[in-house]
Amino acid sequence: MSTPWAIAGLVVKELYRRKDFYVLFVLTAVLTMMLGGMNFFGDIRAARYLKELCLLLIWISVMVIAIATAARQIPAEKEHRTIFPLLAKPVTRWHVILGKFLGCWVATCIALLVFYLFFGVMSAAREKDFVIANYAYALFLHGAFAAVVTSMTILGSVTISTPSANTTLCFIVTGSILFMGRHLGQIAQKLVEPASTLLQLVYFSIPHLEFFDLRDMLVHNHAAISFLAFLGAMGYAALYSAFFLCAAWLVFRKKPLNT
Amino acid sequence: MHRVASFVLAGLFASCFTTATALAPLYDAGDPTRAKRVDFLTMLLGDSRKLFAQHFFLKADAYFHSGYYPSIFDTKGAGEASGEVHLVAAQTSDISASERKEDPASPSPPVEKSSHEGHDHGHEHDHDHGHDHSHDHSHDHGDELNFLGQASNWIDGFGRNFFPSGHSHLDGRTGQEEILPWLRLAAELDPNKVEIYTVASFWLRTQLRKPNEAVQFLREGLLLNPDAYPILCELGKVFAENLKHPVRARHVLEAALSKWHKVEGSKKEPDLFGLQQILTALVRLDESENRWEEGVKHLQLLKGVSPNPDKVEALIQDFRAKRAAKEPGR
Amino acid sequence: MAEILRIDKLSVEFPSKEIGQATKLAVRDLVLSVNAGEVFGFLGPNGAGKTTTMNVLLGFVNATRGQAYLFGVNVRDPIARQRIGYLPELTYYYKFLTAEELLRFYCKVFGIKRDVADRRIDSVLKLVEIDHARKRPIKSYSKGMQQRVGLAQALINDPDLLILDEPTSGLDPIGRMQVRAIIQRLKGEGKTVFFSSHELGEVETVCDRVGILSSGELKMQGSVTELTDRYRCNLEQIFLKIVGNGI
Repeated sequence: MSTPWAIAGLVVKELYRRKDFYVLFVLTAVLTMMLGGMNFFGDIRAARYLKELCLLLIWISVMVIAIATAARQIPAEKEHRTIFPLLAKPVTRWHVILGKFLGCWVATCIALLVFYLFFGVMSAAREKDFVIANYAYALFLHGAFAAVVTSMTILGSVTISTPSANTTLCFIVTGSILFMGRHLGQIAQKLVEPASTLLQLVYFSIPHLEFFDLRDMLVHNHAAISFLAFLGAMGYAALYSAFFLCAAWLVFRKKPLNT
Repeated sequence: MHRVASFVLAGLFASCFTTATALAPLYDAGDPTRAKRVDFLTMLLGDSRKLFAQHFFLKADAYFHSGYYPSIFDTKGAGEASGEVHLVAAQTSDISASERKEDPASPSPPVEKSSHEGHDHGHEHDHDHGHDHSHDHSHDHGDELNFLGQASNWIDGFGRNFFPSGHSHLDGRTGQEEILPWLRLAAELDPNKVEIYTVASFWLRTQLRKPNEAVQFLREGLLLNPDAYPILCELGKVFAENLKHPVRARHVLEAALSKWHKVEGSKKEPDLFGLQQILTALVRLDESENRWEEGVKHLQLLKGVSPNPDKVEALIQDFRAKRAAKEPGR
Repeated sequence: MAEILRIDKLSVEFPSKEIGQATKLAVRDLVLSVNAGEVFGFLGPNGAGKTTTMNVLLGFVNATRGQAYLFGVNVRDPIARQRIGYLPELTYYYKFLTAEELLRFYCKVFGIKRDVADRRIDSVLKLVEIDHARKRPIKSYSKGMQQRVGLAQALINDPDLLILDEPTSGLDPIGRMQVRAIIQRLKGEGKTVFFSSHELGEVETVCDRVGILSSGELKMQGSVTELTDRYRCNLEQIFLKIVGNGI
């Protein structure tokens, strides 16, 4: 297991040296603070709009970090030919897939932690009601979301030849699932056959990323979600991540790499 | 040679820049509206800003329900998703709700929802207004707010753990300020959407006790929409009910009435609900100032547009009786 | 003498990139072995199949037929690569790392303990003479320095077998001389080296045995002296004869 972690360490190092994260964090912080400084009808108590916008920026930033980082990993290894000295060591292709996934995921989780710390401080400063349990659940579920998206992007990176196409596709898929994944079942019921069955198949196959989105619960200070639901969502994320990683390995293990 | 070329280039660049900056004010002076016409948001978003404005307006309503809100896919709540907002219903129904609170004995002019069903989703925010007449609409309320229906499969059911899936409102005492940022943003994005001003004013004056801010916001709206009689009507209500300036209220409401005639008078299907609102506000003002004769005049106008003319007629008789009691000789 | 590398009737076919075209046979029934302590020169013109053969040995490409073994272990098993060092023809490394960080990363991959890794990093950086630049990012290195970093990473696990793919390509004469010196030093230490090159003079200097590959087939193999004696000419002339179908 040390080999995947060694590869993961490399990915994390790359991310914090590339400065993408810093740019996104500063952008999020500056925009949030600018919005926080706005005066709406002389009432400074309003906090939820700020929480909502801050969380939206965090979600976008995390999506950008997770997808952009994961999409370039394996293609960059091939393009820069660093994959060859790496695979010439006692490193299997599964190690590469797993290491890249772990690296991207850990890097995204570190970014997530910093973002949520900022969000927590900002929320606590503006609002007294703060459901700590939901805050923690939201952080962990967001991490689970990052795991699913990262593994899905890694599968894309070994399947789709160009990283930019993979990045775009992953953004579209992730955004679409978040926006309408929950409603596909309803839409399918209104369609005629065979479109209805096909859409039902899609509905039951896609990873339902909306399970990891607690933004509305956090913004409106709803009571903490049930622990069992939280565990269920974490397990769901683990299953889908494992599925995507295994699929990525199956595709990658037979791919010839010519120097 | 190289240095000379650089100097020539720099000189030409400086001349171009100077000429451009010198000509710009001259060009703008020819069309005084030019400088003001395009603001940053218009330039950035174009006409799509109206979509964002509508989204933010709905967002304010969603905030009122603590995030429990139907999306465009939730067919049972299609009315809301199509752009009709509970906040509007609350605002337009304040005649029959919040004013009764102030004077329960006061006869409310019957501005029935049946005349304007589009504005009413049967979802009065009774309890938020501090009233106990939820029985009026309890049926509609429960029906509409169950827009999620029964979970159709495990994904649907499980997913409900992660977003607000139960109906609630912002607390009557606190939290209602949370809707204001969205209304302000919606107005910034679409300054010609009149209902944003009236809805914001309603919440500012009735729930947040900020009538001065309401007046200021309505004036902003009026500047941009000079023919908007609903804004004038709302402004009249602020003066009458919150700032206790009956004279100013009367002037503004009469201006609203005349605007209504100007804008709607010639239409095939005029906005009768708007007229009812103005007349109701005027009747209430007449009543509070014991101006029974003018009240009767306004009620007679109201009778012509009300779906319940019998009730209005009863009020006319009531006003006449009061006038007679006040002036026995007449 | 122990057999370190064995290739047994190895064939590699690549599918055609265009529909209707025949598959391309890159290596055909290659039989080869390299013994411990030998420096083996793998020669051939461009497109002869040298790099493909190395790719099979390193697990980058799967053989269509036949087998290859390193230390008696099939090359498909990653453990076969535990005791080898590999220097690709074109060396590109993680440019955001310093030389020291890169070597430390490879030490982790090999599971080398930290204290051993520290010593190993010091020694290889001194060997390839870039110790002075160990803290500088690789992106700031010259091509020659990058090639030496490549050599350092190939040596970090103290390998028993070194596979070098054209190790002196693109280097200036001084750089080539230094690489040659390093190979000879490794030979002196009893390491086995399997390397491909176009530089026949260089091969003649450092190699114990050579194999000449042309159109995917091994045309001949033997010690340098044996071949020069047999054909009564130098290695370059032998090579030209084989490649030009003179033999």
